[in-house]
Amino acid sequence: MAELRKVQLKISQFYPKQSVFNYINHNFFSEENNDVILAERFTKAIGYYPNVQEPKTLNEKILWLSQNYHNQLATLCVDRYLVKQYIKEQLGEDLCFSTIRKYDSIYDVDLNEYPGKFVIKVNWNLGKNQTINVINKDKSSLDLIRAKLDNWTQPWNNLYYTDYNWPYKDVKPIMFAEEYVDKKACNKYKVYCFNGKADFALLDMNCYSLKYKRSIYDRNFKETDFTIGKTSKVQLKTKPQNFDRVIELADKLSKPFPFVRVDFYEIGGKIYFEQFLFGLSSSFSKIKPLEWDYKLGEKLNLPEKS
Amino acid sequence: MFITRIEKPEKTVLSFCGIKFTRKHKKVFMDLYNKNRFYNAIVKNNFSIAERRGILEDRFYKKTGYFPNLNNPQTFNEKMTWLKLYCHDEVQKKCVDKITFKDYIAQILGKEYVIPTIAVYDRADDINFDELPQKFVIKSNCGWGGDQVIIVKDKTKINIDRVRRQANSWLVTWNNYFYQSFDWEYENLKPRILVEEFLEAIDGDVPDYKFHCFNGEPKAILTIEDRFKKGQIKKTFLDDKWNVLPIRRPHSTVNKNVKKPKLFDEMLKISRKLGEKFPFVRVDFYNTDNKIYVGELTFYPGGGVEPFATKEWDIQLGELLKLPDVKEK
Repeated sequence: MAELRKVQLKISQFYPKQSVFNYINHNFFSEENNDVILAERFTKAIGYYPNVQEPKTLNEKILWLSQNYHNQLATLCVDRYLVKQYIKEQLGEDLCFSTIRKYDSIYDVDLNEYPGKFVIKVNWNLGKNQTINVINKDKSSLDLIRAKLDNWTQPWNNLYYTDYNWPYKDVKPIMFAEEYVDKKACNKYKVYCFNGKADFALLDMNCYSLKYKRSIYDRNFKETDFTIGKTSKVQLKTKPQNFDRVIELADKLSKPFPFVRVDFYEIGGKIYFEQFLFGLSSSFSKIKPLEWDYKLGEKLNLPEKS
Repeated sequence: MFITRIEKPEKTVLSFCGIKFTRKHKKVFMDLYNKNRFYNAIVKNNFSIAERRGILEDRFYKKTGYFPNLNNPQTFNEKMTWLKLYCHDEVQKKCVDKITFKDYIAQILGKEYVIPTIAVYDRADDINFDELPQKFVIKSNCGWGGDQVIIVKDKTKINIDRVRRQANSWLVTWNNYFYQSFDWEYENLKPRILVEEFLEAIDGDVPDYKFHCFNGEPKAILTIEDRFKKGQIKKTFLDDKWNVLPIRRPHSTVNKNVKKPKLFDEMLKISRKLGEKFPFVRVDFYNTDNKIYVGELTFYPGGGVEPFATKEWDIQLGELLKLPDVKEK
């Protein structure tokens, strides 16, 4: 029975999800229902009904931006294959994991082509979703990898259809292989940038261990009074070595945007760039206490509708 | 563009982009998913009268237990389904929308017969709770029965965000009974939010009076009592002289000693006046001791598929109705 359950779980990821529902809505009803669906999702996740016409809190403003702020550069930044070139041009140094090759179709995938471990990804993924770590080549099944990739590149698996987040709308799916880096002892820096300037950062130390804790500091390494998300909060004993450098990098990268979250890895004392996040699908989490949601919202100036 | 609809004699299966949708997927679309309304809405423009007929016949068989003969309709439910498919009068569209319905009644009978409207909204975040009185009722303009109604008895005690979220979920395109039972009046009806006055006298377990007008004559009257007591609901059919008819709906009992309402004669008069324009209409009344309110006009009670305890009564009620002559479209 246990084995049958495992097979069922494996199959279940091929079944339609919320994004398929949204994809159907998008293609058959134009945009008439989008507001209804977004308000429903927002209330469910954050706990209050959003006022989108006059946004005040941070979460409301991010929701507004995801619908009304259209910048072509954001589309490039969200694409995790093309962004590597952009980072190189902006910073003048290579902070990303290096790409091995691009796959044009799922039949190009060959496990023995490259010696050692590697990672297969789709460019519109978020965090560690839609990635396959090829570690043990004897155990991994080529057919399953192909089936997964085929599913992940279907149009409704575009993140645009999770909550109509504009930057993802025109992203075209690209499958590619990347170098493998062991992330067992890995720290994450998630820097929130308002109006082209880093404001505060979430430091997740040992973020791939089971019980990791989160600490939140502003750009001058002063502890903040609020929490974000469900992870419990803890105070750090010493300032991390790379903290100032991360803030500096985030300042450089966030200049063109009113709001963006920039994520970095720290592995073995070295900084790697992970991803840009715009709009809801990224920073869609409860801020406690609620008054801080308003205070942070005040800092963010909205651009004109475009 | 990706859709192919495979028609079988008994079932319609929808496959979309290679995914076959079945009832198992109900859980996936939990929040905004309403039975098969969503699937039907996807293929909304493709429903010709013949297709509607096929799907309705299927639904009819599942609910009532016999297959309808729509070429020669005899029973009450068959005639309801026939009317739904072939007899379309534009005035009915006005009566079905709960917002325009009030204007219609006020035009014919007078303003005192409808529950006064406080406000109408297009979006859930337009609802201004400061403007509203202490007690009120929020409805959608296309809900049925007790569905899609929030009764607010004390404004200070409600959770505003929750009320907004619930009202918001009524506004999706496919939250429309056209896609469930093909009531043609609902096609392209835009869902809106309606706020009404709360009336103490109507609240709670007050009996309902439903006058079935056959060709303008209220020949059968249905009273419903104790609808909030589980398992004790009483549905009684009477004729226009207040004699109990031996008709019974399943899962309910008959109350042989129903009290005659004080304003019975006036109700008869009103239902004659409203019913003369349509081949069949059911007029629902909210009745207090000295006042009558018209609740709604229903053209196809129970969607034309609500079963009776025995088929005999389906046939006997059906004999009362003479169908109009309509050219087949």
